[in-house]
Amino acid sequence: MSESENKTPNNRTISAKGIIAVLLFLVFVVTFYFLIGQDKTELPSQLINRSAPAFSVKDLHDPSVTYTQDVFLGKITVLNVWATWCPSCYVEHPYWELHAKNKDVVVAAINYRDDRKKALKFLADRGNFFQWNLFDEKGRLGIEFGVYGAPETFLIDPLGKVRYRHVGVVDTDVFESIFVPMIERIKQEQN
Amino acid sequence: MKKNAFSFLNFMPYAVFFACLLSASTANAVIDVYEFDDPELEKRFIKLTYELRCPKCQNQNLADSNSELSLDLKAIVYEKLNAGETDQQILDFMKQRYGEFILFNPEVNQSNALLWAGPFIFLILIGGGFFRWYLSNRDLDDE
Amino acid sequence: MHAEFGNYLLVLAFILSVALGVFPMLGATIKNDTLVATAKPLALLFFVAMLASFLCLVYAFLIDDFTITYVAQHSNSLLPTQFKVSAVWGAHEGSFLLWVFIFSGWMIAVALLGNNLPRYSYARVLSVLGLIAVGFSSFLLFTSNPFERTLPFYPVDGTDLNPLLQDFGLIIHPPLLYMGYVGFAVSFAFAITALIEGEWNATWARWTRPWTIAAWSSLTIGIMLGSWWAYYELGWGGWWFWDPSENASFLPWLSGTALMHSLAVTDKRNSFKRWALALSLSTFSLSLLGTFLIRSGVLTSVHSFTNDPERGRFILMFLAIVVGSALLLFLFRSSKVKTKVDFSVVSKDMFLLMNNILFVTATFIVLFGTLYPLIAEAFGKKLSVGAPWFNSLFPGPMVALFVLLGIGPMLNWKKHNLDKLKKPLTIIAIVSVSLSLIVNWLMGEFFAWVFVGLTLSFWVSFSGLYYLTQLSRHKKTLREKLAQISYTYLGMTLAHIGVVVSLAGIVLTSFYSVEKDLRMENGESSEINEYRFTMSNVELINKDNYQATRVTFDVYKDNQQIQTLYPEKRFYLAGRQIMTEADIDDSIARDLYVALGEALDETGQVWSVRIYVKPFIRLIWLGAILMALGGILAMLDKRYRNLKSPKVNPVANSDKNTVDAIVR
Repeated sequence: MSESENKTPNNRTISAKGIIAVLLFLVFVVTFYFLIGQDKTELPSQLINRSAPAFSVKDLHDPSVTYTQDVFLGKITVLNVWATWCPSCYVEHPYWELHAKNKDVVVAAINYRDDRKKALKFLADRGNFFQWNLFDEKGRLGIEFGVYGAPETFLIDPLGKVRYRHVGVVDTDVFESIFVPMIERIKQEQN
Repeated sequence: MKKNAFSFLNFMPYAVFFACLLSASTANAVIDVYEFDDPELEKRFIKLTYELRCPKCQNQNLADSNSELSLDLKAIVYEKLNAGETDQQILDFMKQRYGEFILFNPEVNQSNALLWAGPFIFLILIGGGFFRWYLSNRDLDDE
Repeated sequence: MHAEFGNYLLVLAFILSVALGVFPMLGATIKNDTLVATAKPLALLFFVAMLASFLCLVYAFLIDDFTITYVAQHSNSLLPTQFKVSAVWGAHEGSFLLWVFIFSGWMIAVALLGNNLPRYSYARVLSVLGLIAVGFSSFLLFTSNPFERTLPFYPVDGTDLNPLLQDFGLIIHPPLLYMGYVGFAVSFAFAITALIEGEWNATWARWTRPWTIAAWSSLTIGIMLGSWWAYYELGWGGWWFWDPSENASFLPWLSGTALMHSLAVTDKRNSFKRWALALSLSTFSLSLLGTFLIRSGVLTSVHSFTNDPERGRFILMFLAIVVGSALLLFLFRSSKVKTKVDFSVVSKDMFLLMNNILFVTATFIVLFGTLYPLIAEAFGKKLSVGAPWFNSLFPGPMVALFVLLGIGPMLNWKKHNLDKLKKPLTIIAIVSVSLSLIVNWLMGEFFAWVFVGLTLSFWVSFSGLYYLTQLSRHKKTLREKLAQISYTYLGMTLAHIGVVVSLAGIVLTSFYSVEKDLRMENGESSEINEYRFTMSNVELINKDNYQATRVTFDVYKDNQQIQTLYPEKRFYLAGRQIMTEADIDDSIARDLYVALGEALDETGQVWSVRIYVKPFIRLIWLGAILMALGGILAMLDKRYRNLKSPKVNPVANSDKNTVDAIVR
């Protein structure tokens, strides 16, 4: 690094390799720019367009009643996964009163990894808007569905296929903008 | 809590100390107890729980994770091992439900070809580049 | 007051950095001596401003000033004093303040110790550092200001520092890690200056070498402390997880290692010049990339900071500007002069070339594995790349490196006749294989990787020691012998032995560790290997800021009590968080590690317990300490001092104190 005569580099043009390097760098920066701020925690469901898993699970209210995957057949089901230990479920619950008014669907639920007494009290206090409620005490049904937290909500078509999974609270906005169009599409397919 | 440098504690419940002491609540369990008669089975259990990722945590395997889901999944691994299932069957079971995301050891298959081959391609490119540079510029003055 | 003062100082530092980035650079370009002379005072002032600002935040923590948001969120009046200080860097804002403060420390070190640089180069180096400081200080000021107030409604008490961070490891780990991270900015600045001036040669390499080694040594210790901290604090008994945050620090370390070795060639042989330049630029770029990955939240890591998109974008833009302009400068300025390659296949040059290929490949593996999930996600595929992937690929280049490392340092530059080395090398190889087999046999089970790892450890250590004896074989006493060997060679050998000490620790602890999850009742015993663990007491203890259940384990070996361990389950009062505090009996040969799980019954007398017996795990960190010591020794070599004559042909001037050709 001498401070005298700056040697002029004899090759001032950029090589092909150099152009590739610059382009790669640009692609890299742009990709990262779009990756910033994305939710990294959301996992895509493995069940999309596949049949709901087979199960045989007791009812929350009446342990003598047992449900199987056949319960989905012939109707469009919106299946909510909830629990009393899940804070967001308290936020979500009132919305189910609204969603349950939709005539095209059956609104049902899985009570996930919960205590029966607590769950029944929750529904008694806040209203029960689910047509039926599966009691998944040990969380095994949840694992069959690939549930990794609560609340999650599945949309299941009359053939028993899972069409969509939503992770997080299904408020009016989510229901109107995501669920309703999909429900319409499933109805059209039926005709 | 929002600005927590180590956000993985977020899912630790804010249970009261004595609740933790007095109940066997699974909510706080970091270490669950699985005892094996066959040491070979125990080795496989440890290996599998290190290779499976907790689906709801930041970046933890089942062995280190303290989430309830991890405990459930660990219990399933334990049951399936004792039922005589192979490692591959257990991994497939997990993959079917939670996707490839749950496998810390990515499968060697066509869609992961780039992942597994990448380092070798790189080595060939850079090694080859240097080799060419060496051969084309070599000028040994023999003494 | 102190908050406003600290904030004011940050603004001042920002302005100073802009001035430092502009004036001396301009002065060096238009040959204006007044402007050039501003470099040193501006750098000094920047340091003073950062130091004072940092102290303001420390003071705010010490007096529990919860009117400052950052203090309120990360401290508590019950916190012990030493943790109030370390809480300053317990989260994003404060840790970045520490980061910039440490950066200013490097800057002032260059300003004070670089006086023997040519005047214009000196100004340019400081000016480049000033430009980097503009980015750092504006990031701090505009997106991560630690001095923001919560007025008028401030909390009565703070939220508390995360209990995991209330620990000695956190006091020292981040400062050293950051020292390494930002230290590479100095090599970067030297490289940019060289590119601007169009002069990169052996003299340039000799200026930049000690700085690179200094940064590398700090980073080595920083990473080592992080690993050690994770081991004893997280309660998982692991020492390396291939987590993105670890990889982020490992990347500049690997690249920096390659840089150190290529600079040796440039220094001694005036060769590998563009390559050394490229490595100087990319090492600091990887530091910035790591910062970006950890602080932007694009990667899911156990240790990531808060996910704030605005911060992510800021660092990304900064990274794009710094790396982009470095890349362009490199492409346009580094001319492709056809250099004569005058070394043969068996020569130190060739071995260092292979070292570089392998280190760069290793860097690539870590980078690729860390970023691949992101690449895949951009294509709509969600997958994980975890420890098993890294563990199956990373050892490849490492094994090759260690094989070469047993030979490379002994070779002459340019050309070496292997004939005379064949006999000693064969003996060393045979001894290494035999010793490795013996250790394998002593440990019980045979594992191929342990055999390979230990063989390589012995191979490298013995050949290093043999080389030192050869260098000094004409001297009689040990003192004379040591005086004969230059610090560079002594440091190099020490660092090389350090890395294989770590290697030995890694293979031994990975394959011979025993892990047990047990259900234990008070009074019950459990045997693991030759040790018996007896749970002998359960008690409740109260401390200032936490309550804990402490369980006593008496450890027996051959019916002799050798140790008592007290793992705890703590409940931190302020943050209402539960923590497992493992207790470890450490020794070089093995660690006994006990961590509590949960109480399994109502009385608290039955617990789930995790016990590890980890042989030789301490070697991993001991090796890292040796590496860093080696670095410090090499840095102190005479050849880097009094470099007053940059115009002397460095090849002709080949040092008397580096005994290149002694093994003839």
